[in-house]
Amino acid sequence: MNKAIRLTLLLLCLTLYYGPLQAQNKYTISGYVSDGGTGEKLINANVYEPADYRGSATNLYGFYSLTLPAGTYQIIYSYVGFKSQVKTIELNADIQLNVALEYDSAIEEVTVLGGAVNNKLKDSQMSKEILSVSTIKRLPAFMGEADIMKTLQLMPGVQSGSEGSSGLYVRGGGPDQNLILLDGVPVYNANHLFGFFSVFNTDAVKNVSLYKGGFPARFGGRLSSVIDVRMKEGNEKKIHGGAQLGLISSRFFIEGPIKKDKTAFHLSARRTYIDLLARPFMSTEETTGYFFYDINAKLNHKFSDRSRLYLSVYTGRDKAYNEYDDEWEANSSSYNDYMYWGNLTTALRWNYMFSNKLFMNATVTYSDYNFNVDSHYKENDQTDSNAFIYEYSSGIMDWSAKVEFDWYPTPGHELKFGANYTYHTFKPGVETTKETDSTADDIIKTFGGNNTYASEMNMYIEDNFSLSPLLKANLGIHTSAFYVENTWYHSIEPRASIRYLITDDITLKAAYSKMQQYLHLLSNSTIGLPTDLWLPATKRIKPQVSDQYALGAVYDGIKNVELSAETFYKTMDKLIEYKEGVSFFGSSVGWEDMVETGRGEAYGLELMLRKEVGKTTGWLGYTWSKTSRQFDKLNFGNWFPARYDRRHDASIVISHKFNDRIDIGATWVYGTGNAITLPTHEIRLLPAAEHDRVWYESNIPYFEHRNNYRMPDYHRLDFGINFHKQKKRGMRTWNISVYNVYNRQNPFFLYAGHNDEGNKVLKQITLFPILPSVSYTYKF
Amino acid sequence: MLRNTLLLVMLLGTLSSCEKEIEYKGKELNNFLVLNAKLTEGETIRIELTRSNTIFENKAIKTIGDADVQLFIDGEYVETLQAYNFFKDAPNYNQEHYSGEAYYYLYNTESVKAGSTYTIKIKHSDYNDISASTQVPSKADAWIKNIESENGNLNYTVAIKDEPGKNFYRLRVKGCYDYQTINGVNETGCTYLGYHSVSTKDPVLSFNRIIDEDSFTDYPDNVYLLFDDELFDGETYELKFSIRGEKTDDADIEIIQLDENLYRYYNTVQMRDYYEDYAFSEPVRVYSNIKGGAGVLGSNNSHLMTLENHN
Repeated sequence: MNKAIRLTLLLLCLTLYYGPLQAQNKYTISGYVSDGGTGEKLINANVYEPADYRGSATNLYGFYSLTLPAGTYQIIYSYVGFKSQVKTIELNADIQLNVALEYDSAIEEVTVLGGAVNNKLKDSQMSKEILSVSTIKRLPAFMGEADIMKTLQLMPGVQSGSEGSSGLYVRGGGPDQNLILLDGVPVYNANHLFGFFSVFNTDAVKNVSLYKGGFPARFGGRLSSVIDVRMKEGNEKKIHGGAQLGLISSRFFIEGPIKKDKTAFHLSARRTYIDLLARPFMSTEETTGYFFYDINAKLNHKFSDRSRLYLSVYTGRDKAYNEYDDEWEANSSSYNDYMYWGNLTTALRWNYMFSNKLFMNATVTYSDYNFNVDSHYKENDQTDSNAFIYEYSSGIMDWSAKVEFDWYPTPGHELKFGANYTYHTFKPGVETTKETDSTADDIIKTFGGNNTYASEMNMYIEDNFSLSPLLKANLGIHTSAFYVENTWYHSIEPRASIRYLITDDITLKAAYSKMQQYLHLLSNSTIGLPTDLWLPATKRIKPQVSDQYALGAVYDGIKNVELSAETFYKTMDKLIEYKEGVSFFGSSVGWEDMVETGRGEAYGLELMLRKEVGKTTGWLGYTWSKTSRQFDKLNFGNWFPARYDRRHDASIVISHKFNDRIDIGATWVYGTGNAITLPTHEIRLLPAAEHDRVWYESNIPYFEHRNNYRMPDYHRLDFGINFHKQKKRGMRTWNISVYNVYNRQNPFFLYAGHNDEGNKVLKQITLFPILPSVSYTYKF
Repeated sequence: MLRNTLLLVMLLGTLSSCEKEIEYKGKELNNFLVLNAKLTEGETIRIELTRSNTIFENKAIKTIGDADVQLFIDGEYVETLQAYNFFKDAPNYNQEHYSGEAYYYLYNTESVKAGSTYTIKIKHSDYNDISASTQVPSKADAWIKNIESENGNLNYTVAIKDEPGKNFYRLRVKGCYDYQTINGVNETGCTYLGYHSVSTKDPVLSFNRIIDEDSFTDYPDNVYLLFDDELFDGETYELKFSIRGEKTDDADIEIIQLDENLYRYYNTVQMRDYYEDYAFSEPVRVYSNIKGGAGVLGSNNSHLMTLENHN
């Protein structure tokens, strides 16, 4: 490993040294590429000089920089779905050129719009998928809610947890090993309604990138994936908006300039209303309900062509409640139970262009996740009144400051370097009870621990460079340190991605990443319960580490179709699992005693055939993989399949645009059944008298090993159709979606029970049968 | 409270779920032998041999009386044990627990000796061979160091001189009470006290953890009052505990030294019992040292300390 680190550093130094020597008598074209209609910056737009095959791509903020020898050039600016622009440039000095691309409505076959483009063939990055919001919105939606996380589950190498869940299991990793970023801010609980919906409102999202491996050095802190969600910045040109009415939720968004071409905003919100619809059917004494809401807001202001400020805020909350009030004669009683949880994230970002080769992004972020339970009981009679209050709260809060630089020192080199500091506050489960009685003093008790504080720091440098027209690499180093409870942890993590063009349409790729993760998630389920608790590595519980190797190829020889194949091998160490039998309900007290640490291994093959352009778009994905775990004190030290181990996982995703008025989408998924622990036998214990166990059954269930049984295979077809109509002031869309079209009874839970004849049988619980939904959207 | 609220909300969310019978498609389910025996120094060897039921068999567990059960002591073959009919010895036993006949195997030529290794090898034409071994631990060197009466409780300090190496123990307390029968007759009854009657903050009786009474923990109760010597290996340890002694006229304190098999077996049994009804916990597999089958062959050695009337 030390050899790998030394080699990476050496290559970085050599390329940096070599670069400036080559930079003489060269000039730089730089600027931003944006959507001419809205002013939104375009991510990964191509800036290309075709004569000598030299080019660059815009970064996350739409900035590009291309250095060429003095001369006259035709520079092509392109982005899928937009008209390409060719600029003739006489380059005899550095110039700044901002380019606004116009939406190309004339090219009918281009139907994937408004998003970023995969360029797997040319990019040195591997194991990365990009999703546009228009792709997500065109696919069938569960209960009418288009969902980013559920669309990501359709990608090879990504698996869902259980039925309906929006949790992600990437290349054998757990749900805690995904770094989910919303405008660069970590989101700790990305679920609503126990995982059936994700927190991302598609109206507010501009672009989604998923990294499954070959992690660039700028990312760190999680073992298995990075999900980078970027919010819309707001339309700089004119006011736009829209609203959607669905079966269980409604939403709206509005965006526009506060000062044209200078300051813009975006505001979107959604709320479910099952609680409001059900209220008329409930008794006056007792009300039960559940809802969630999200609000996304973003403001950006351009001080100059060099300087721009962004402020983005997300807040979302789930709330479940039960309220009971009763009065009789002179007495009254009330029982009120509330459970609520949610995230608040904020990012203040400043982009500054120091020169046409050096771009800076400085960010201050805040992220807070809280879970609370309040339970109030009151009783009054003529002589006395008493009350009991129970409160529980847990969560995690981060303050973070980050500075990142994109530097284009010479042609063919794109350096990124930066540093980040995060101050974590871990709020363990704290319970408070208060008993009041009019005839006695109040009794207040508090259970649970104090906050734990930790500092996490990292620095990185990476260079994306071409060694020759055929060979391109991204080499980097990510270093990190973590301080908690007077203990320091640190790591040096080399990262490497290499691409070799065999022919014009075949690329070979290889990647290696070492990752270290300082956070652990205490969770008892695969469905993302709000009680899941984030905790730091401690003196006893070490950080998780992984090494991942990937090898792949991309074939781009068929028009508009891209075929990719990747294999991966990943080892993980210092993973945690609950001791046998231990369960968890939101308290961190004594958690170190409740877990075992062990290791994991995952390997697999991923195939993907994707068509992004044309009237018919979509992809076919297939994954063969194996994931197992070994803990010295679990399963008697033997390896066992991880609960999300899935040998075969396939998806077919298709959308087709018939014309401007009608488009359809369909998805079909198939997966090997989840591994579960199912008792297969019943055995006799030592006689009860031998161990005072007289109150229990003398027979107990027996199973050979953990996760010894496979649930039935999972498959499901979803279908959706959109009817669009241009109205006087905007566009209206009716969406009809059907979840689980052929009403497949997929397994959610298995148990051994009795049938009507009294025979012992295996029984399956299915969660969702066929579920149709409809929504109405109006956009102006 | 938290758990109930959570489960209630989840239940509401899954009202649309449905249930159906499905076919089992796992590994072929074969029955296997289950051996259960606890060897105690000074007593005879008694072995219960049963057969597992698959989860689809809807009948009582069957005892096996026609197996070839061979006993080895310290590696030397001793004899093939004979099966005895359980109901001949205990005709009033609830026969619903057994299908038809019930057997046990007995070795009563000589009693169990501390330090000896006992091995059982069993063959049967219908099942895989099974085998297991246990080395009988020596008697714990323990004595009652102090007893104090406080607020109606008896506070005990029991000293245990631990031998170097891994050792495993169990505390049992037998209390005797005077009581009056329905007919008004005064009688005395003695019984082992449950763990609820024994209170302690001693870390060794709390899985070697310091227990803060004000903290909320979700950990199994130490029903069997098990402990190991992790905190006092090779030293003399003073174990502290209280029993509700208000009406206790006599109490017997028993420090039982267990072999590791029995310790792990008891420990996993109490964990299994505790977590049995937890919706989200991974099921606990009860420990077994039986090769080719299930159950336990364990051993122990009891040191009984009898107290006369403390008053």
